[in-house]
Amino acid sequence: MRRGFAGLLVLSVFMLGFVFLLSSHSQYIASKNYRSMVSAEIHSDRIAIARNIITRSYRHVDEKGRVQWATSIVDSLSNSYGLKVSIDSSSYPVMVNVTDPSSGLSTSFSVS
Amino acid sequence: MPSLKKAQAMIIDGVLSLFLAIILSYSLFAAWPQDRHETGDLALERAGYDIVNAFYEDEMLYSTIARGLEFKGYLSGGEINSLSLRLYNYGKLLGVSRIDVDIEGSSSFSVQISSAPLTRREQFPVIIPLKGGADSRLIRVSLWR
Repeated sequence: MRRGFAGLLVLSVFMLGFVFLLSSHSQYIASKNYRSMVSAEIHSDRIAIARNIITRSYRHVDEKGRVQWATSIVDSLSNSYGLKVSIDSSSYPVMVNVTDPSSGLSTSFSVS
Repeated sequence: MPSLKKAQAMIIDGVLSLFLAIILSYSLFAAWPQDRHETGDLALERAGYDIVNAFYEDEMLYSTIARGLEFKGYLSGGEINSLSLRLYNYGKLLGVSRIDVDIEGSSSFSVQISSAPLTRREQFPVIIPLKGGADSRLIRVSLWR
């Protein structure tokens, strides 16, 4: 009887601990969640910025300069922005894929 | 209270272990830093989105840079002054303290918007295609807050 009671007591303690932990509003956990959300939004913004750079710069590119433009976009965005960009300039419309290796976010779109 | 039979004791043990595992995992993941990258500044990131758009959509900004680089390969003092004035207005709208512009193969310049101490910086690339894309220049725009 004593053993059974002790087991139930320990179980109750752990259940209570679990419930308190779930409902805890510790500043550390809350700020960690906030930092994760901000970090995710920043990664998403970076991809949106890269997409804007590609679509808006393409407006000033003509047929002959497409390949060089694609090369400089891929080099610049990967060296200075840490994004992996692949451009299929042989197709029309030009297909682009932008991936952020640090977060795994990616987007594909066409520019024309 | 009646004593527990063996099967009941085993079930309670199992449930107890499950809760213990959940509590330990939760504590571990709550304490363990999951995202090791610096959080960054969301306001600066959003300002960067706007400033990159401004370089392309503001006809005065884009044409001054593109014409200067295409015809001369660099920007003159007068061109830099006009750009600085335009960027000063953008900086005020975006609430940044300073904008640094570093043009590949040409001079760099800074636009001071406020004298607040500079604590954070984010850098954004702007690619200007020249001669129809045959040549491109990279501009690094840094926003400070």
